Amino acid sequence: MKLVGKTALVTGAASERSIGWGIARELALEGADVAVNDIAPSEALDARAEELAAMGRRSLAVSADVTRPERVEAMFAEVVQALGHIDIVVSNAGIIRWQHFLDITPEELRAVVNVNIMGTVNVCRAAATHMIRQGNGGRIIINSSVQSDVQFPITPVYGATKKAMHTLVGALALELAPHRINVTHIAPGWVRSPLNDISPELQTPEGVEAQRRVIPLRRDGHIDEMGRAVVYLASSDGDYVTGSSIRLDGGLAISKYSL
Amino acid sequence: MGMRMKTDLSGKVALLAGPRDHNLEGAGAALMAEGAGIVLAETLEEVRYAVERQPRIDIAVVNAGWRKAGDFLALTNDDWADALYANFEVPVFMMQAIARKMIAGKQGGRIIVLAGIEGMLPFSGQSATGTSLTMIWSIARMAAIDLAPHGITVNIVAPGWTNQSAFSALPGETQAHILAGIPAGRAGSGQDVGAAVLMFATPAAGYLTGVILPVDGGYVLSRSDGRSMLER
Ligand SMILES: NC(=O)c1ccc[n+]([C@@H]2O[C@H](COP(=O)([O-])OP(=O)(O)OC[C@H]3O[C@@H](n4cnc5c(N)ncnc54)[C@H](O)[C@@H]3O)[C@@H](O)[C@H]2O)c1
Repeated sequence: MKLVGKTALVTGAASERSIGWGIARELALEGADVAVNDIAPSEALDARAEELAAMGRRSLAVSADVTRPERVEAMFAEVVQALGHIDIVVSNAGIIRWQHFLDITPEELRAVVNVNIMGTVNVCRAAATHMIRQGNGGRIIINSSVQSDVQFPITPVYGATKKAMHTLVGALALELAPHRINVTHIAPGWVRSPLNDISPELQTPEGVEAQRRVIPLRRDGHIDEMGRAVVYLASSDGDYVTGSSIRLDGGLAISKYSL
Repeated sequence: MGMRMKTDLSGKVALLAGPRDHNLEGAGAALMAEGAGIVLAETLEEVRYAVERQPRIDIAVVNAGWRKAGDFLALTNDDWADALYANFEVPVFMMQAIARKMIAGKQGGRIIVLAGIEGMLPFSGQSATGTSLTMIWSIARMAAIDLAPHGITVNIVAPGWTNQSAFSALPGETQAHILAGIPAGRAGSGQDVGAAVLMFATPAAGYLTGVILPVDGGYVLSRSDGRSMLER
């Protein structure tokens, strides 16, 4: 086990089909105590924390809207109070909207930017502040997307927020390196989480099949596969990794046409 | 000075949108020198007004010119809100209004976005500026896909150290440090930016779209300042 004695917080982890949950569970399997967050209290979020407890870990369900800095600060205080310290923070909460460039509305643009950029900024700021105060380094890992490498015209705002994670992660990694805080991101391709349930491209069996065919490995990614990459980045295996990303997309980013 | 390619833009209307800085002025000068008529619109409202009033817009230069340096932990959420508004939201809706006008005019068009190289590679002290600039060039490239069938190209010019007066005002030591990172060995100017903008605006450039072109004397090519690691 690679993370015994470590504590972690994962945002946006309420659904059992979510990437956040895959990450939380893999961290716990390696021995970490884990707090799971989502935007509001829910039975689902409590159930996630109970599953972690059943694995023998200390765990915690902490709801907070990550776009609200005062809520994020209160959440970190609660996590540190309950678990003693915070070593690994995974900024995973994110939302998507589907609309072509000419159809973007200010409301949709602001919603996506607010969660994907400001939510990440709020979580990263609180994480860095706590980790610097603790003086033991730490790991901040952002869940971006394959869209940090290739964007799609049907999700231009989402793609912009994810592309920008390279720049944000790079700047944070540079500034936080003296504190031994490594900052990285993972870039998942297609995962059948609730996020994609209303994707206009995936509403028919043909749509799902078409999606599969642009992926060289011919399948969706599994949430535990995303979690394993986070374990790598969060553990001593990832000691020398900062300012970079791991793409987990079955080859989606390298394939132009359906195969 | 020597031979000069003839690029006639007379009769074309060029809209210069966003904050008027050295880069936008360089773009305007280059387009005007080739005969384009210039319309200035600094704010989103002014762009919408210009789009309504002008009979046509052939070329638009949209400047994402907001910058603020500061450590991530020192930047406030107001700073972030400013960055995301000025460098992303406003230019997105400027481009959208301009694109709709160009589509209605059925004559195609050229949109050129100015977004500094802070959006191309990370710098410490530039998290908000860099993040917002990456966002605008990313979305400009998706706009390029959707607007291509209408004969509209969208390209990005990414200025490096092109603010001559700001550069000259720096202490000599800082200037030397920056120059060591620029293979061309000099700071650039609005004129350098104008030349790149003009290139994308010319009739010959109709097959170029979604390009991000750094105008930086080679600054982004390497993280090295030009000396070998052993010489340091
Ligand atoms: N599913 C995919 O194919 C895919 C691919 C690449 C990247 N991602 C990214 O993975 C991350 C996780 O998404 P997912 O696919 O597991 O979908 P998901 O919808 O199951 O998970 C996202 C969670 O974030 C929560 N959330 C939204 N706004 C929030 C806020 N303001 N504060 C706190 N929580 C908030 C949601 O309630 C949700 O539970 C997102 O950042 C997403 O962009 C997903």
